[in-house]
Amino acid sequence: MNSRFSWGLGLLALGAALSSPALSMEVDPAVPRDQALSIQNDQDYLSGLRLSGSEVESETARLLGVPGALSPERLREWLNNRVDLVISENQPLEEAVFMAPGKAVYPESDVFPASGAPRSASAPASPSIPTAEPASSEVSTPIRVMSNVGAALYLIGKKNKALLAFQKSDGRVLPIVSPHHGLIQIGAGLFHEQLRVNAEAQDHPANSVDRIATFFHEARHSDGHGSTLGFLHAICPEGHAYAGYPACDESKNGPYTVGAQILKTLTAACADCSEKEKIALQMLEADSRSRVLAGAKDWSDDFEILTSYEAERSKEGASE
Amino acid sequence: MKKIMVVIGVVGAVGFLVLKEAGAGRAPEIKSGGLRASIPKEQAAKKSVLLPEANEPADDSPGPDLQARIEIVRNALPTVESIKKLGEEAVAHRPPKQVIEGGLALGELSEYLTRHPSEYKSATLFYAECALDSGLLPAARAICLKALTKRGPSEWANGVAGAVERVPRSIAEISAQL
Repeated sequence: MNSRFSWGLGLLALGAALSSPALSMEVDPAVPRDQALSIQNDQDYLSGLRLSGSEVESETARLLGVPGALSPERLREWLNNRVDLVISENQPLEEAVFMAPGKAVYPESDVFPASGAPRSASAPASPSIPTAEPASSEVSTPIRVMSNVGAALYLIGKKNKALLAFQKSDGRVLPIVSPHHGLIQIGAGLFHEQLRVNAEAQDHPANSVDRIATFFHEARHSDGHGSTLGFLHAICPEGHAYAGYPACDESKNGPYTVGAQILKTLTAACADCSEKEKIALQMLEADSRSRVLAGAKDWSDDFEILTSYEAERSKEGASE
Repeated sequence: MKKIMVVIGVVGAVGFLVLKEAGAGRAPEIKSGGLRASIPKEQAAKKSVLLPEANEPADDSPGPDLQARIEIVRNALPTVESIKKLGEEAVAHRPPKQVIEGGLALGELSEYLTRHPSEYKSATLFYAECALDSGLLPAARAICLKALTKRGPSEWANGVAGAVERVPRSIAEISAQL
């Protein structure tokens, strides 16, 4: 990687962003406390997972590219390598994201994913918002579950040949130099009673399994480069249950497969899940697998990093 | 008594298809205290598409309790039609709530059958109809098929083996991965 940066923008901690991935995902202080605690609980659950060395776990290790036997540490490492920051749906991207003045050069600069690309390349507007529909009435308002806005913002920056940055609620800045430094936005839907496998207890292991799998799904969007950047979803074809929606994968190792395989692995290992909960989790797994299109192929999970960024000297008056 | 049970069992299977074609998107009647259901009167004296050979032994039909539970599951299973109404934002990235509800309903049935293993054979009629129902979301069909294949043909009711052979390959492939 030939990175060349100007440091005119004092705000941008580019060095940190290009360094090794964070040891653990950071949760922005603006994330509601109960949600942050649940995420911590899920992380702890993952750390304490008792795996058995089964064939399912070996399949999962192969899918994730994890060397050797699958372990809680390997799983956390995989996730943390792809998720830097978890932010709240209450943090408006329009206010928190800005375009750094200067010239950014991206690898494979003219190569973009064929489908699911950002609808507008003109501004760092809110990317597509995956949501769920939790209300029981026929007319309901979708609520956010989770989305990897980092990958979407990177794509927008690449389209505009500009560097985008995200200002955290404490004022620190995260430059979006790679989709691999995932910026995951979560919403109430991730914890909503009607979207839980176990409605009674938010932090029941069955709910942790489901949320962790959702994180892994979103984390896969941090991978890819050029035409596979972000492992974006494809429009489901005619005849598919989700026909017309960008809710399918043309990749055999994409987000839906990753989420499904994590569900399978963690469900098998869930000692405190009831038979009912395990079958509900299996149903979620089946739904994810049904979204992987026939003929799907493995995609390279190599990821992009901004090649160079040069700040506007006239405005900043700084030199390298 | 046995004859009555046969009728209920056979009709239940047909009623299932009728319900789904009508776009039944009713919420499951699952309460913390247990399961409640009623068997619609109109489900009377219809012949099962699953048992074309007819005159099958009465023992394969679900008893009233199982039949009631099956009705609840039927009403809870997500249909393709109901999912289409949700829109893009409700289905992208993550299953809609209907999938979770359907999974929980199937899970309750499975727990019931674990407690009452002698009723499993009767339930296979429902699972086979479910696996064959193109109006249901593939995930639900795959789970139903899984409920059959994890035990095997020796425990199935008459007619189920033939039905399993007719399950589309796409559904069988999903089920095999679970």
